Amino acid sequence: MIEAIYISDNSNTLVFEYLLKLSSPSFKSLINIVQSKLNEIEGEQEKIPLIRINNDYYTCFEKTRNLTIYVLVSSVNIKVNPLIPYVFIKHLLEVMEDYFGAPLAVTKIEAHNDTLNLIANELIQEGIPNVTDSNRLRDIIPLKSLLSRILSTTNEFAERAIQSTNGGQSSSPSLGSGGSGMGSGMGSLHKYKGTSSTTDTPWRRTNVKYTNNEMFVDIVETINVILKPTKLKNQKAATLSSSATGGFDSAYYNGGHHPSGALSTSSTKLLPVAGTIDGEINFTSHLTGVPELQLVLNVPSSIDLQVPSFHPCIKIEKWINSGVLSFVPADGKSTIMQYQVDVGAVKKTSYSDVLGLVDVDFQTGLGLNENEFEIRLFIKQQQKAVTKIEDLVIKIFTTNVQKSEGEISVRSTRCTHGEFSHKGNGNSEWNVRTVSTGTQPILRGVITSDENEDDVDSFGEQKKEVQTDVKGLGKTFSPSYLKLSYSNKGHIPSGIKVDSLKIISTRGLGDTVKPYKGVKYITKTGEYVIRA
Amino acid sequence: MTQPFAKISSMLESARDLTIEAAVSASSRFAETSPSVMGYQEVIKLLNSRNERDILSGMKCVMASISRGESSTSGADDNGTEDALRYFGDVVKNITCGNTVVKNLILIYLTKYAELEPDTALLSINTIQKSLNDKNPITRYTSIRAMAGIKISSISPITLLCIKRTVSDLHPDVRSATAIAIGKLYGLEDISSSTKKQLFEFLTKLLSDSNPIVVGSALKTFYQIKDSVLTSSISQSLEKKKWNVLHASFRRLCRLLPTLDEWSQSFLIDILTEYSRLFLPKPKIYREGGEVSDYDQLSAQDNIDNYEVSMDADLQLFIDSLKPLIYTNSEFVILSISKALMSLAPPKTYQQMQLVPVTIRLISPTSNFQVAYFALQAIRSVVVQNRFIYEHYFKRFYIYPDDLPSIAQLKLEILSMLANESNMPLIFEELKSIVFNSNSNLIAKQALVCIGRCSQISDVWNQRILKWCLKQITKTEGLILDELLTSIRYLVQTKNHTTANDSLAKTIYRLSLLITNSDNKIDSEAKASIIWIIGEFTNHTYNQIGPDVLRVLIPNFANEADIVRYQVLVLSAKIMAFELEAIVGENEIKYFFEENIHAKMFSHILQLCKYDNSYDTRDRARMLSILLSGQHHESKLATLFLQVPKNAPLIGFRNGDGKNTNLANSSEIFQSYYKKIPDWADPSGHPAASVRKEILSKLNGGNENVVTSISSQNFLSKSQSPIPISEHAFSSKDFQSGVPKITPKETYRLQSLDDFFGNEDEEEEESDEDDDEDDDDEDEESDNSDEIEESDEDEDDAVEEEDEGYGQAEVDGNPDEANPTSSDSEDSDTDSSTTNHLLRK
Repeated sequence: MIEAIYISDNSNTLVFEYLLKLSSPSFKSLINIVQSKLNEIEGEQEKIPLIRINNDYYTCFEKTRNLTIYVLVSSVNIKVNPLIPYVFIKHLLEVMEDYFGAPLAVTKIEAHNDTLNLIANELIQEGIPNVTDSNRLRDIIPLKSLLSRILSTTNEFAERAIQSTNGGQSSSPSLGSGGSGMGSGMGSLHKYKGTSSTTDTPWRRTNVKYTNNEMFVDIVETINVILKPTKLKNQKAATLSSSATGGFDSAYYNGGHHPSGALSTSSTKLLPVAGTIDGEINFTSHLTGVPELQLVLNVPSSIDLQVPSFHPCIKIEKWINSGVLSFVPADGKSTIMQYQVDVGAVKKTSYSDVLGLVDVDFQTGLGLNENEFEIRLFIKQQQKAVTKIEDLVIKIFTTNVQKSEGEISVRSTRCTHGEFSHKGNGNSEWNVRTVSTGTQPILRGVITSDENEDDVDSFGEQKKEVQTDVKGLGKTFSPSYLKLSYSNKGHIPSGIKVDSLKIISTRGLGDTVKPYKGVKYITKTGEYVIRA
Repeated sequence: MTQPFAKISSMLESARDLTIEAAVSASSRFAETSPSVMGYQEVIKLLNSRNERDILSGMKCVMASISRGESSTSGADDNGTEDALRYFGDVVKNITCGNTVVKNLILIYLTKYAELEPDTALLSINTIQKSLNDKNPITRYTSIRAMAGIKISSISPITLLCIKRTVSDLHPDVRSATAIAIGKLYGLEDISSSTKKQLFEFLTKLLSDSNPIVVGSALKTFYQIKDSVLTSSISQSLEKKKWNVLHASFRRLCRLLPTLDEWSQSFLIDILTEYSRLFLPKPKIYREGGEVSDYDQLSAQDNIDNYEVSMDADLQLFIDSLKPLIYTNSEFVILSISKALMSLAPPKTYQQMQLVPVTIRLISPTSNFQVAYFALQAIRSVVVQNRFIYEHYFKRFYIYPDDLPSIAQLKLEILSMLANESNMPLIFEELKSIVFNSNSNLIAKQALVCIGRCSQISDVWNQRILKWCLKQITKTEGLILDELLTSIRYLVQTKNHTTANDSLAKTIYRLSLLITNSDNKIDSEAKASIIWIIGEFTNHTYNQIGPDVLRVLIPNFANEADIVRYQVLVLSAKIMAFELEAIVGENEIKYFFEENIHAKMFSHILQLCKYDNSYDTRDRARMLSILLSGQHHESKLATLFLQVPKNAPLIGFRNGDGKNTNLANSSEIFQSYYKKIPDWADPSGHPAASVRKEILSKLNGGNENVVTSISSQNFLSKSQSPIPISEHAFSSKDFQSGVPKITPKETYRLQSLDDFFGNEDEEEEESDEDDDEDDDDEDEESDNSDEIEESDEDEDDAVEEEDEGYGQAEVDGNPDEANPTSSDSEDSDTDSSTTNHLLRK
């Protein structure tokens, strides 16, 4: 069970500690052990999920930008689910951000020491996470800043006034009681909110009010895929690539641009070895009252969402029966659904649709010395909604070189967009940044080893020698893999679309209110790997 | 017109957000300076102020000094605790302060330090107790929790009384705090076992509460209590009985599962998993041939398509109740489900529940490291038991370049277990590319290990992999080459030697070519390993290859590295031993030593080794020279220890390996959770399934043990009439006597065992504080009216006992409708009584 919470800054100076028992160890006695364990793995690219202190205790920690949060867990009697400490920290961070404002900092923690004590006391009771939902917490512990309280109360007053003129809701407390609350000191200000809501919709506070009702759906998909060139018989390649380019805007397609030609002539094609598209639907709700919403998704037939995970607010039976998301949203931002599409399970003909808007052609072993490579990107112009691809970066890794073969360096000989830089250690980066759709950036590069770099640099007769030299080693240098990263808005690879977002019941919202609805589609890349 | 209006209001809203933001940062800056600078005297002054605001800032200072764990700033040699204790009296006296924030801070302070200053702390008890009557549920909620949190054993009777009252509080949050309080009180050191029994009764009541939040808290408390170690002997009998609390609620809890919060869900799943192991029969499997067996007799080879599963109805109910939970967004709940299914049902059920895609989703590169790590651990545990269910998904365990070594290692381990004839070509391709393209040597090494392990799937693959490994020797170096040679050794040794002698000889030949071909530049360590392998298997090649290798090596002996020289010596010794073996006669030996080329080479090597730098080599040479000097028994000994079959190298994923102890620890922590589960209890010891019959009738069954074991003194001293010992006797007697309607008084006695305590408590309470009398009386009345209903239902059950299944199903079907009147009326009764009470006050 959880025994203590410690918050330190990133140089391991304690900022806040909350010990559940008198006998719980203090941060000072702990940090040395933790630090020594962390030192053990320093240098390796590694993390430790849990740090064992001794037979009875282990800690779990999470680093944020300014703070490190440790949770000490005792495993003496109770063997606790090992993911609980981690999820607990996640909740703690959410709650702290909710109460103290987004970028958490040491000063904020110090200033709100008392509130944090109260929060910790609610979050955890007898070592077991208690109330961790920030919406429920706010009912118990008020947001305490004096100014903000005045602001919010005046706001409430104003709204109440508006509502009373509109013949508004009976649920809102009368002006008188609010006023007396103000008078009798801070304590009585936090009125207890209705009980019914805590059971039906524990994730939502009852008295949510907005002058401006709006709701936003953001669908974010992350592509994780490993692509590998696969040799195709010419005929097959042609059919595949034509089907791949079939989705292109026809005007663009007929425009005689290169990409389609390049695709159909190349005898190898990048096909996914394995991969997934990880999607999540984020919902931002600024809605008054307790409305019930229905979100209908249009999922293409080729996409299998497998078993998605849902926010507790989603009615699972409705999803199972009719594939519709029906829910009373939590106030503010929440991730209502997460799903995963297996790229391997998608039909071969629709591969290129699933892999996003950037097609890659990657060839190695070019040039006289067979040590050149070429990367061509085809930015598809599939949808009018997408005009540009952002943060397009390609990292080129050359890891398949033995130490005995010397330091290698990578140079670019042709680079149409962005800039190319060598990062050392065989890694280099082509930073294309933002590029508009329909373009075709190309990079051509050479890889040389420092042992025979001089020879390569000076052209002429020596070149032939180098070539034989390289052959003699049985080695032609070529990148081992590329990592592609970009993001774009307006299109997601799975092709999922929001068909409709309806308000089914408007408890406390008023039938006449038509909230603003917004939908956003965002594509990101996680591990987009292209092998040579 | 509306649009500009909306715009303006949205602007206002954002302006408001901005101001709030500003306010937060402003106030933080303002507060930043105050607490730390304050000295002891100033804080005391603040705490003794009359102004609430001053007290609040005083409290803030106190809390700050605690939570910063500072001792150095306060000077002297006192540590943090003593530092905080200096304020004790001044803090506690403010308990009467009207400000809730101050009060809550004091309660936090008090629960932590009360045990160190029990006398002063007692002064606050009365105030806390009084606040249990507060109108504001939050006050009652914090008070009962704090009350139980004060670790002074002398107040435990009072706390018990308070708990008794708040157990039936109107507000769910207060009841849920009561559940927490029960856990706190139970955890106190010197609590009498009768108190513990009572606490269990309260907990039972809360477990059957109508509000999921309350049930959730009760479950958390139960989870905590169930594993706490009890010392006294009386308590140990309680140990076994604590599960009785669950009998009655089992089915209801299964149904409630989806409505609980994520923590409670996870705890409940763990609890019910343990419960099922203790009280439910094992599932059976029916194989295609009509064979029936327990599910745990399935071997890892049993394909899931070959059998059907049949389970106890209650176990099925529990497993079915997990179905909606696979859609949860809490990763640890999935871990709990996976644990439950693995420990309660055969792999087929695991697959049917769609847990395979759910767990696999957790290991995606977008999910958090810890989540992925533990999900992989869970998957590994499942795959060890049955690999078929994940077989289809092997591609999902491919490694991404940025995977951390710990993740990669688990993935590889799973991959090697999933490999079979049909997917091996793909897996092999994948592993090969990892070996050469990975950023991290560690991962590349692991991939090689994985390749080695995959060789076990068939002889054909063994051969194919071996061939590949041999090809790679010249292309690799360092760590990877080491691992490659270990793999080769493993592959050679695990080959089936009777059938594959030819291919073995071929392998050795290929290895020998590597050595003899002077164009190859091989690492000396690798060279040494290869020479060892050639020597080790020289008798498998009838000593055809070894001598030739030796011949090539001798001229360059002096230029080789230490380890290579040593291995050359060993090789020559092995060759000698093989040759000596073949010779029998005395003369022949003499002739052999004089003429045979093998003997000549050996003696030459010995000669060379005499002047070796390494004393190890020199020593070994002397020893071998004596052993192989031609004396028959000695040469036998030499053969014995030179050719003793060696174990194949351990080609596993070595968790304990030096640097990885941290990971080993994490994995251990996982195992201690995932694998820790009691064994299936002997079915003959199980109580009848009817104990799990729903709610009220079952409460009797559940309480029976607790009730009967309550000290008989109570009976004797208080009994108005002779009472049969068990409640069952009661109900049956009533049933037999055929009294259709039971008078209130009799029902009172029917439930008397519970109520005796209530009575006694109430009497105590009456003497303690007269204020509460009315309240309690009214409670009692409402209790009584409730009990009539209970006993009525008892009878119904008794009638239906014969065909329990049906009667039960009805109750199961719509429990909320089954006794809506009773619970509702109870609620409204207590409702009105309390409001009356409040009004009167």
